[in-house]
Amino acid sequence: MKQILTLLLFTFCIASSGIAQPRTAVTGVVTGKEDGLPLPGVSIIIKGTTTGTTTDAEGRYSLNAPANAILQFSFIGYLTQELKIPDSHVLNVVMATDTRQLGEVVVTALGIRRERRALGYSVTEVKGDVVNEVPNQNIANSLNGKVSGLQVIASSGAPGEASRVVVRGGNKSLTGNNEALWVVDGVPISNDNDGNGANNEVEGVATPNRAADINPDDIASVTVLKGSAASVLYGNRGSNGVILITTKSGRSVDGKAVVTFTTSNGFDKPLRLPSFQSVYAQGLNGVYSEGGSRSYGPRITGQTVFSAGANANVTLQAFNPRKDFLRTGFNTDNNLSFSQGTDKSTYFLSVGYNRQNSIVPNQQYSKASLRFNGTNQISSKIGIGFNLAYIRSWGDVASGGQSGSNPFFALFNMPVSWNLNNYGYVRPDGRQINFRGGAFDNPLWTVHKTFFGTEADRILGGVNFSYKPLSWLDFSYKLGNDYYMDIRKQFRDINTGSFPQGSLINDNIYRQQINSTLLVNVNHQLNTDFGLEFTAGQDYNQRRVKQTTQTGTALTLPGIANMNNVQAFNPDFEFQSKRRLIGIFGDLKLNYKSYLFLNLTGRNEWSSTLPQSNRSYFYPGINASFVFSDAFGLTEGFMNFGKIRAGFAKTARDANPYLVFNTFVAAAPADGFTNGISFPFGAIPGFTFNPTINNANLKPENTKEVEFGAEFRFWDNRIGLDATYFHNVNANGIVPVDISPASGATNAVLNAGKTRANGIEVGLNITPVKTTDFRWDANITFSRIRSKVLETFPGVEQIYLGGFGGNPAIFAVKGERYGTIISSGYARDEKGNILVDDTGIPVPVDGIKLGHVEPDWTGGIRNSFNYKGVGLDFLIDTRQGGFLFNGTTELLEFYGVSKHTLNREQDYIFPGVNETTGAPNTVVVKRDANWYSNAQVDEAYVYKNSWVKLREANLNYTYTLKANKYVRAITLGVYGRNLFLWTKVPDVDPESSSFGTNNGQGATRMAFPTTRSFGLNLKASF
Amino acid sequence: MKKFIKISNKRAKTYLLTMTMVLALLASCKKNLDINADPNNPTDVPVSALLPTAEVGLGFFLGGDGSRIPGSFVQYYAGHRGQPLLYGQYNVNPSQTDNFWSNMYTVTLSDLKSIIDKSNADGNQAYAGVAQILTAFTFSVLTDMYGDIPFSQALQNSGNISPAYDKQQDIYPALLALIDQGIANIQANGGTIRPGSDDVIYKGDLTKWVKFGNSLKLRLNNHLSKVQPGAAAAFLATNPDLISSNSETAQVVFGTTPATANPIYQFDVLSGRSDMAVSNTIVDRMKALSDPRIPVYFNPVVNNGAGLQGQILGNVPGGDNDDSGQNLFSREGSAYASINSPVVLMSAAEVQYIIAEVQFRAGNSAAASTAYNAAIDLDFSSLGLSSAAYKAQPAVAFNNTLQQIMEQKWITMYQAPWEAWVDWRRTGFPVLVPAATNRTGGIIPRKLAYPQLEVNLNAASLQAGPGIVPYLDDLKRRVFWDTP
Repeated sequence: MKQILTLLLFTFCIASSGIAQPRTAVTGVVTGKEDGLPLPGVSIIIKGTTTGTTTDAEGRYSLNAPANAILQFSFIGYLTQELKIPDSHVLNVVMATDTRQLGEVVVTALGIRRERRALGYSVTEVKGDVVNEVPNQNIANSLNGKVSGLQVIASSGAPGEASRVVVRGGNKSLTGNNEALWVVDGVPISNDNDGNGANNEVEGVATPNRAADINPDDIASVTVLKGSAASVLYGNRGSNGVILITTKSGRSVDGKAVVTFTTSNGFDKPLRLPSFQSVYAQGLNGVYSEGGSRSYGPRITGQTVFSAGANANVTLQAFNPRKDFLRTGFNTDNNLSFSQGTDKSTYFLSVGYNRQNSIVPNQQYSKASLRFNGTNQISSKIGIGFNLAYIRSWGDVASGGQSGSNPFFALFNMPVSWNLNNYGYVRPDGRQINFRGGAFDNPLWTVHKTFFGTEADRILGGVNFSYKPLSWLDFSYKLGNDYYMDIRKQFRDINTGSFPQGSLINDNIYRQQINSTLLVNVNHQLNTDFGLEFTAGQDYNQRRVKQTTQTGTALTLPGIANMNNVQAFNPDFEFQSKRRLIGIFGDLKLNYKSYLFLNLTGRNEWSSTLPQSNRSYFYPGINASFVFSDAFGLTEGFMNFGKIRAGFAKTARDANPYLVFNTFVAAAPADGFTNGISFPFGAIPGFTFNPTINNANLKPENTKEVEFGAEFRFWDNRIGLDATYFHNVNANGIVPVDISPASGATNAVLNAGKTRANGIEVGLNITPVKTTDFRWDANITFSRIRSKVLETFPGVEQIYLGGFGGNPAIFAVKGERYGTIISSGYARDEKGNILVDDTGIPVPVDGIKLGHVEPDWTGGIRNSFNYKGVGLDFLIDTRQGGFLFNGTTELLEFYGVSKHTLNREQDYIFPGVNETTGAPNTVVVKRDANWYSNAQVDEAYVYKNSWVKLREANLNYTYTLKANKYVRAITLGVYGRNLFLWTKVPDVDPESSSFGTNNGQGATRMAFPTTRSFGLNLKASF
Repeated sequence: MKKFIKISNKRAKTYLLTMTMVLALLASCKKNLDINADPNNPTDVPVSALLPTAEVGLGFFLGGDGSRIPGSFVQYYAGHRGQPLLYGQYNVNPSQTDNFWSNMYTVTLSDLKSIIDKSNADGNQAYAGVAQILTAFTFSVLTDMYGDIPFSQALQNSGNISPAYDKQQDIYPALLALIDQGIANIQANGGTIRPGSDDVIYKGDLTKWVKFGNSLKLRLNNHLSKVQPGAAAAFLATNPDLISSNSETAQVVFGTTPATANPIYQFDVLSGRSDMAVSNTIVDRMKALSDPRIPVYFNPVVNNGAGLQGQILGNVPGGDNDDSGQNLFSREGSAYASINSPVVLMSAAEVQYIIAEVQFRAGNSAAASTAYNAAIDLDFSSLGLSSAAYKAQPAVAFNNTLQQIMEQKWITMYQAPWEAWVDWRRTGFPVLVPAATNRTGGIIPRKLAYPQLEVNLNAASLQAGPGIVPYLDDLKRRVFWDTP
């Protein structure tokens, strides 16, 4: 009983230091030389005995030894050291890697560092310097092409805009979140993206995925856990893969503090703009007219016309409105950090400031961050540590999609005859000057008279305690909190196209997440051959969301973005949600002679979001690794390392909150064109039966995944190959299935659907040249994934993933790969001929499958060359296959502004057959405005989504100043991002997505162009 | 070996302890997991909170797509770009009515069903009766637009997610019976609670509800003019208590704020789309009759880009003449497109036009004339206009022809385009010239194509019922009462 109490006390970290021992107590921290990070699991043995210990998760150890003893520090992959105990009894050790062996250590689930060789699953680690080779405001974009199996989709080039990050294709959940879990220093953080997700497909705003708040310069390493086997310990939240970020910790050089300053400054230009015609003016049927949206007017020959925009007669000429409007963007990134490590404590302190000015005037996104990481060894057995970051992100961000405030909508369809610079955008009476009417504003109006502002304050913090009462036993506890408040203000002045009376929205979003993890570690080398490690743990996660929105629907005075200036309001909106997840888990690792490893995991989870009877669920995992090169003594030949591995795991996912009980919701009938009615109607309240029918019998979704892999090193580690095959089956998806509205509801939350995916991931590292002065490294990544929707729901063949309400939309279609573009296509006869009506126009059919979204394969090659102090790195990545709906090209033709419409005066016969006679079509038409109004079907604008990009390039020179006391080294460099694009898709960067970061990928329409950046960077260490 | 045992003992204890702790923690946490009751939305609401949604929703949906699409077929509207232009060219693809179909079923009908179920359970007959009459009204509009629709198996939520299609000839009698049930419920009026200010249409005036019920029966019987020619006359012979004054008109009056604004106003003004150019067919017809309703039916051209500012002008039906700048064409005027204009479900004037038609068909020209004149009077007075001079014109004075009755009714039914479309399909009046640019081989649509949502989500039922055909063909099919 006394022991129980004692242990309880230990757990809550109140226990004082241990029981008195006869011999000298030695303590210390073991860190890696290369990255300064603590090394756990290092074996420390008193020379000549079998007595010893190992370091804990924070690299700390304590040992009782005779005062004159020599301690042996050994760890696979590192050079063994033998050291005397100093008088201080504190022995901190810095271990250097053994370049002869590959004993890479990686951060794995729950922050446990393990030797790569022991892992039975695929993990990729990217060091901070590789992540930050080229500055990027959003850390997600810096991972592009650097990790096999990781796909990053930047929706656009708008500053602040979110990117979608998925591992292994991102198709495990039909309609749920498929993005990877982000964990910073052991604390899961929010990567939510309010405003750019599933509910805002048509009128999104370029708000960030919140993981982008992390200052990339603070990052020491990023580890990507790809499969279920790797992430089973994170429970349902890790089932989509996990991105583990370890921020920098304190370190010293020659016992002195390290001060580092970096600055990068660069320019942004659109990577690609559509090809515009400059021959035809605004108007219809060859006649000049303003007010309409199309450019089917006369040839521009210097004739005189009346212009309502100029309010005068003008001479028609071709301008360049795109050039007139866009400007050169600018980005700057500045960081200063202080770091030090002493016997007992380490700290890392950094400040960062980053700003990106958009290529669109008046829009920008900035981040400022402050981070303080520290550790302290209170006694030989107790250590504490903390990480605290304050991040402020703010900006005026772009609207996208069909929003009238998407600056590119009206800019791209602006007639070349419109003199944007001279006509202005506002009349003296306050009305808007625009070449067209309707919802899409003059882009100058958009950037001067409307804005979408966001100001987010975020605190990410964690504290951890560790207690190591015995050499083979340690406890650790980590408490993390992620809190942010995003205060948004969206303003549209009076006379804005879709808001003639103006509009003002204050939207406050608060998210908070608490995570608590308790771990008990048992680590014991049973004898010289067998080792055992067991981790048991419990964790608790709570996530809260609060959102309040106040919407003013009519302004009193123009130009004042304050609620006091609103004369009519919509009813206020409030949303709250809270969810909890409790888990217990065990992780047993066995090893035999350090070449055969077995790992068993199990986790039981309780979720608040599932019905009581189904909310507890268990899932197991097993994986094994066999380093056959060691077992068979093959380390000296051409192949110096060889390992095979296999893993299996099951994971489960809970539901979103509040999908169990049926509800009524405040009524807001609308028709898709207007804002509709918001109740209360005057003073009369109104509710409506929730059109989504909830489910009192909901079960968790689950994924079963098996993976096999092999790792080889050849030619003294100069060639390294890591290949993985995985196969997963995902069942019981929690899906708000679209149902026939005639049932009285639009959706029913069901356990539906079954998908599977298999894939190959290959990472190849080659060092083709390695001399004293010159080194060339090449890293190649390759992923090939094939998914298939095996089941949807009886009677429902396709499940909506995202898109425009009608056309086009992305669905999960039974029997197809995950993500199918469905929209209008050509009607065809049995022979496949396109049917044409008597007027020569092809007959459209709705609801046609136009292709899958999933790529056939993706890959990247990163080359780095080093000659003395000069380094050159460049990254090329590619995507091949899959399809993209390119609505930009479609609309540019419809509006008559694209180069493709230059053939409008030529006779044309559409290749097809008459729908009634079956005879070849002979009707001669002109591809004029009427043609594009009637003959356009989305099928014609679906392209193979293949491209190659020169993603990053960086040339730098490092100058080491030995003589100078104050400056240790200076690195100067030039960098470029998104430098070149090779693709057959017309007009757009095919990477851009109009539906944000949700599961409905594969469509772009008037998306913000991606940008190409050039810049200079400087790094100085003091 | 001895040491190993010792360790494993300790380990066992540790493990046991940890487990005990964890279990203790879990026991206390179980309760912490019962947090899944939605704090944002109630699990139950009184019927008085559902009736306003059903009524306002109905008005909004009918005044929205429910007017824009049929109104383009009967040439009230011509559009000039975007969807309204496509409607004018009869290119109404299945996706374009998804929202309308979905809203009618999942908002109006679903909430009416909740009201009926709750009221039946609680014995509140007035609510049940009102909801039954509105249910009949809503289904009648849907079946008149689409023909066969899910009816008997509809609205069962997850109880039936693929409801079968009923034939229109079976739906009509069921609707008439439902109205009878509704009237009977209202007249019995048992129970403790009754509609009041939550009833946006009649403020709880149950007498008016009975009149609306009877008037709706008259309208539906009259819809059968081609297939059961005597039905309306037979019903009229029973001397039903009908909507007879403008104060009894069934309508949803909208509010004065953007959040409560009339649907046409929302589309034309608040959304900034201004896509709904009116058609020159109705503009020119009314100009020819010097119709005093012109200023309240249409707004003059707004801007002077084409030198037409201030004129009342309509676009050619289906004419691809982009007028985003509002330089060319009028939009709908103050009578039905002000911020707080009503959406009229059934007016006293319409009832008189129906009586005029029924009496004309029965050969009672005097009664027909009386009703015809009463219809014009009622319509004008509802708009605050005087009808005397208008009626005095030879072209308007009653000439005992169906064409005249229907043409005048067509002008009045600008207030309810979906019903004007029914009239045109039944009678062929007014005679309309199909849009020159069209996608249906010159045939003005005789029904709506089934929504893409149904093709996607209820395909088996649709196939087993009316069948799935290309939408441009579907638009040419005829509903049960619309025999050639």
